[in-house]
Amino acid sequence: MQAPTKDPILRLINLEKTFGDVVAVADVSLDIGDGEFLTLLGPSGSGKTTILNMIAGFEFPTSGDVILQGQSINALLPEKRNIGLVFQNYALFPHMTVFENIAFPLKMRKFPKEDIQRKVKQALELVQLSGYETRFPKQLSGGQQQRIAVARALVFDAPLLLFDEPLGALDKKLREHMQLELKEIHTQLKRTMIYVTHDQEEALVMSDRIVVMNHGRFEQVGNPDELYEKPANSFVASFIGESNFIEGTVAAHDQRLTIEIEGGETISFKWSERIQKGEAVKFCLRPEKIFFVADDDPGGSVHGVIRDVIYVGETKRYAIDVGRSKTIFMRQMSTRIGQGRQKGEKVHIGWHEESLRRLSE
Amino acid sequence: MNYEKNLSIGKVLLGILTTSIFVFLVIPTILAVPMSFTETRYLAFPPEGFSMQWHQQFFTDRRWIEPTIFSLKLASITTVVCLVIGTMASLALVRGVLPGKRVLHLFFLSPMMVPLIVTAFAVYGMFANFRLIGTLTGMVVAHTIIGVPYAILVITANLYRFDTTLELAARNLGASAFKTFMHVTFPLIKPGIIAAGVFCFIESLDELVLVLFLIGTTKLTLPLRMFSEIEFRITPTVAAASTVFIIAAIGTIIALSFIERKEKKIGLKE
Amino acid sequence: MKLFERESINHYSMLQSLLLAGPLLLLLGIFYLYPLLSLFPESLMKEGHFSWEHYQHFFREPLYPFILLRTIRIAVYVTVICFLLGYPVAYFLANIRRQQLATLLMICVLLPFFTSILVRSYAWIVIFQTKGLINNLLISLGLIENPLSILYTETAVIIGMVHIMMPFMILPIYSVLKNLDRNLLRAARNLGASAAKAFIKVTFPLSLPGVGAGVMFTFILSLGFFITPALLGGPKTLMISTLIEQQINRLLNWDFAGAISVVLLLTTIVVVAIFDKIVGLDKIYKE
Repeated sequence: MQAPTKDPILRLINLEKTFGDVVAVADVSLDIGDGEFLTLLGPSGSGKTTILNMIAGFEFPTSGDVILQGQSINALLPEKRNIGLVFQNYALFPHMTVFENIAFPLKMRKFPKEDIQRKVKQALELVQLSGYETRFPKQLSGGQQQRIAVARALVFDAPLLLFDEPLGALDKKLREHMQLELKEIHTQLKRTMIYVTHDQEEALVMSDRIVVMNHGRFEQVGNPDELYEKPANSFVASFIGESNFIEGTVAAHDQRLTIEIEGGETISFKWSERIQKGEAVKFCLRPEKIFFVADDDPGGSVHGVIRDVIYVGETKRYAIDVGRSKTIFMRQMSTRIGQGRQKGEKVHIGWHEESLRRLSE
Repeated sequence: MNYEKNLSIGKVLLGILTTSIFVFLVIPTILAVPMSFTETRYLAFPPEGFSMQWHQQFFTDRRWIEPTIFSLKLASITTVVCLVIGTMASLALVRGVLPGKRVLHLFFLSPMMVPLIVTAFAVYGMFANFRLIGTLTGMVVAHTIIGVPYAILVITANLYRFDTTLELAARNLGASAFKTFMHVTFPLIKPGIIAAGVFCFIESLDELVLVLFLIGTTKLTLPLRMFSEIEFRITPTVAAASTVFIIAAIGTIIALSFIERKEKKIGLKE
Repeated sequence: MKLFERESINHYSMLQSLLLAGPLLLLLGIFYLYPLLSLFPESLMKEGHFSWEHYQHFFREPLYPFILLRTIRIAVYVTVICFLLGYPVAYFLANIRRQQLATLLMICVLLPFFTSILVRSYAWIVIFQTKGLINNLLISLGLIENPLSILYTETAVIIGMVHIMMPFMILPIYSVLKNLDRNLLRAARNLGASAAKAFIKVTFPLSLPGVGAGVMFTFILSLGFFITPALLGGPKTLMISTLIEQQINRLLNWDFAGAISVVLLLTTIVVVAIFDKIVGLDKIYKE
């Protein structure tokens, strides 16, 4: 459990959900602070949408509690929970105009007409779609529909907003633009937002805190920086960003740590912490932390041959064979002119000891 | 080049075949219309002369008006009953939990398959027990039994295609289960319900076999009146009555096409 | 699942489902299922005690099995003709580009569907009768001297029934063909199949659910059909349904009529069961 900075607005306590034999969500607990932007990140089937559904009231937890603003809402019907929700497919009512869609929650709460007019207008301004009141959802583009869905979720001033992979259907440029817009809305309105996605880049860009999920369990909870620099295990290390894994048994440890990896080869590098010979170890190393060193530089770590160079615009990605069966991936900014290498070149690469992270599993 | 020519020949043949079939389908259907304007006292085709007298007779003769009104009443009540019961049953079939759902679904649709004459014959005894022979109620029951399968076919198809996240959205936005049904579900399946209603109405209006057995001796429906006339003494009035049916059919098709256009407009159909 | 639990927020519990389906269940149970089931035991009674006599009567007299076979034969003819003529029409309809033409032709198919069977059968009487359309035409063209008696023959019944049943064959096939993924056909052509081969190997097999539905409906409806055989067939070409009516209304042989009804019902059930085995009923009504 992470302690947020303010009083938690939402608490998940030992929440569990099983469908027959399948465990969708396995005993998770979390406190979410008022005004926080928290992302549930994980692959399909990891349970993140199920948690969202339990908060919204569409699924009933098998066990555990959901507490909103100090009250347990487990027994509360969805329509009484007063939580905003943006669906993956927007769920705009096709038979109602944009105005009627956004006005719907206000109508259900029996707001007077003038207030409805005013608030709908405000909501449309917020998502920059003023003037679209009389259109039908079918007449709007995907991005516009998505924004109307957001406006509809915001208009009734709910204390908590849920987003279920809302940007999945948009193309890349539009998605990136919307990520920033949503973040902007969050900063402006200061409402608590829980966001579900499988896109780790999206999570890193938008969140105050991220919960990495896998098979119904929380793998790690932390802010983007923590999760990237200090992944708790292999899953987090490979799900967020890219990682090289150096795995094997300790062959020797004098100045440098020598590890025997799969295939019988060895890699050695500087590592301060003492490890017993024969112990099994696993390290992860981010590709961008690796650099080229001179061939005879004693600070370098491994020698290898460049198998492949992939040009990705702002970076170059090298696949470097460091043995018969081991390949290390390295990223280098393309601006470092003159430092690029070619396919087939023999290279010597190294990294700082702090860049390495030892994993327990 | 040869290949493309063969293709065209195939297409031309197909066109000719289908056109003939379309003619085959349409001509006999609308044959009654020109015949109803004949001056002669018997059925003639081509019609001889032009006279509105048979249409006049149809609209003024009590022996035609009464059955027509009875048929309309019967069809209207049947349609309402079919739609209410049918929608409820469809909801249960698509969204509910029922023991032996597959068998139940088939059972609800089965009246379409059982030969009408068998149904009529079998039901007669039960009707006699309940004193329903020759009553409006009895006929409504009979027509509902054969009308509901159509309602269920259409409405379940609509419900299967329904996007349930819309209902979840409505609940999340503050609508109770009932309000969700009224504001979201019902408006969106309404076109389907109307289409089902049209089917049921026409089915009841046209129905003859059940009527033949269960109507007793005191009342008549329009098809029954026409049937007796055809059997005993054919006058062009029957043609005039048929014309009314044909116009009703055309009206139905136009109504249904409006519904389909509306469905397309709000994006329920591609 | 227990009585009050629901699968998810959108679904109904068993209790709710039973309440929703209840009225229909009751209605069908009392006024449909029970009477139909009663037919069986009732047909095995004669004057108060158990007897096979009605069935013996049916199968011993050569006339009655002959009528049954004739009914089946006519149903087969009608179904086959409807299929051969109806499939091209459905195919044509599903592939038209021009919207207005498609709508117009759809009306041509739907118009008979919605027009009373009585009206349509009656039109065929006018066409077939001695002073009717066909005879007048043929005589005025000098092709024949004396009018043909087409009415009250099997041919008249078959033609009339084909006319009635065509929409039932065309609509399901059209519906399946219309929703076919066009890319499948394009893929076949791209992979080397000619237009004809693509049709035989891709389009036709994929249209089989619609064909199954159309064939089943047409055949079963033809078996039990009453109005058209009654009007166009007359007493010389009796089919099972008109036979039943004759026994009831004219000869007042209620018990015997009951037995014949059972025979017809069983025949229908057997046919449905066969179709279920071959095509699978689920596919048909889920569409």
